[in-house]
Amino acid sequence: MKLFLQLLGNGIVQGAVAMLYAAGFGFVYRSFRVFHIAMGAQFVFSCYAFYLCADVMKMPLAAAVCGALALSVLFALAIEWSVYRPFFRKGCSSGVVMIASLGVMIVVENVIALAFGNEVKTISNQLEPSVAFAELRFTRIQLLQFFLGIGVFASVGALVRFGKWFKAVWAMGEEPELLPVLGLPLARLRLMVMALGGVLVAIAAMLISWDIGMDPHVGMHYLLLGSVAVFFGGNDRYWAWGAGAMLLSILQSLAVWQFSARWTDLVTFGVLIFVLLFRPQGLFGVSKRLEEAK
Amino acid sequence: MQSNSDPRIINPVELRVENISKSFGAFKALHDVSLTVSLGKVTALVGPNGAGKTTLFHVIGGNLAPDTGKVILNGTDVTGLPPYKIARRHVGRLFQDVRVFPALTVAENISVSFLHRSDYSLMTTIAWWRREARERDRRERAMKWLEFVGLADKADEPAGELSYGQQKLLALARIVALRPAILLLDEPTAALSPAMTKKMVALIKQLVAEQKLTTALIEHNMGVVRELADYIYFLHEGTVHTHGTQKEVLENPAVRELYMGLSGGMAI
Repeated sequence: MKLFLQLLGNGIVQGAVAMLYAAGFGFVYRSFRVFHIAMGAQFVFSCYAFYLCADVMKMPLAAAVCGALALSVLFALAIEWSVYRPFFRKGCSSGVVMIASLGVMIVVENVIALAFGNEVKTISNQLEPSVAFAELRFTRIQLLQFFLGIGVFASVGALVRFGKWFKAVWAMGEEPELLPVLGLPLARLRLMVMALGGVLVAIAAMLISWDIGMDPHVGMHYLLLGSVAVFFGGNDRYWAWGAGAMLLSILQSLAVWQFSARWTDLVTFGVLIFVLLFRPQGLFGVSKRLEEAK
Repeated sequence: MQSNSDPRIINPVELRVENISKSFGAFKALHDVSLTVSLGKVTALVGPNGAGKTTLFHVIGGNLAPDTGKVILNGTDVTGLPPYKIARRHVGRLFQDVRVFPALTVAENISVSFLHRSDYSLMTTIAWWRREARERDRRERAMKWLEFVGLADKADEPAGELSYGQQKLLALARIVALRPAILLLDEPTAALSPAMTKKMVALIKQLVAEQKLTTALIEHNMGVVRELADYIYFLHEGTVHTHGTQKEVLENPAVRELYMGLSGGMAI
């Protein structure tokens, strides 16, 4: 029972961080209708930006976090300027943009591997202090992951609910060409989505890389988890992305309890297939009429 | 429905295009087109498919930059401005194909028209203690336009659940919620049932009459053109072939031959 509770707790902590990168994927996917594979590249880039600032340049932690965040946002904007926007303006299909996005991912992974090597890098080599809650133990970074993950996700959720531009961002996913006709600057809104996605992914990447380190190829793993969480929860609702991410992370963690760490992906994707077969709109999504389910 | 004494109504403005040309490769979509959409009047653009009518709307709306020529709004050259800046100059555009935000509710579809206004600024977003009153005000404004088009009872339904004709009415309500001074209507009655066509025509008539909207209308239904148009431009192969009153254009033998394939005294 103690193991079960500890794994459940670990799953919840992982879920709190997963909510962030799922939202980073979800915003771009929901607004641009593009399978945002480059989110994996953003994740790796953010990890190494943090490593560069904190470890290589020996900046104080707060400055390293700010530096990595700034670099990550610039990188996200560069993806929009150099890849997504040109394809969007040419009216290319989402499949074409997805391939381009995959290209970004491959290029970034390889450039980072060339620059930093393929081996695992760590930021903190110290043994993390832990805190006990009854019989459960969590490290200081785990607590930070949990509170920061939940706090940032909830804050962005409040913006989505009440912010002017987020209403427009939500509408963008439905009919992007209609927004300028209603006086809304589409190009700036797209940049805003990319910047926000960049911030969310960067926070998650820093929290994870600080805890377990990084290598140039971790991006695909978190891209898959983030995208699965969005489809699992339901891609038309912000809170559903978070719920999907949390449930998936808990399932993954509990899979270790019943089976082994080798089977986590099988459990995750098995559940996803099951849900999508019987509830294609996701667990918390809204069903649509056949004509609009495009 | 806003009355003409409402101070928020924008004064009607005149729209002119001067010597507009636009080519796509070797194809000349528009060639030296000049026309005026007069203050508070309905000006119809008619012509066969491929005549350049929708391309001209794209140029006016900022979606396409012309190769040569100017778009003048109330004496100001707005050529080449991006579409959202044109829209902010009180130009409302209804597309030929129905376009709504299907996952948003019918009322939210109208509310999107309020987003670029200053009453939705960062400060008002942060001011949570005024949120309820603000939301109520927006809702009331949205409901006013939904009542105008007869969709008030559908306000909380997803727009994607509406029928095609209702979605077209919603698109009209959303455009007029922008408080336009100029309306660009691209085939507002296309693919509508006779009853819905009648309703759409009546609504447009009411809008133009009560708010003195300067309106450009693309339409293939000659019955609708006869009902609404004060002045008609007949476009053919990217040029203005003929223009004048209904009688002057629709009874012009060349127009009848080119557009409707009619000859002699056959009625249209």
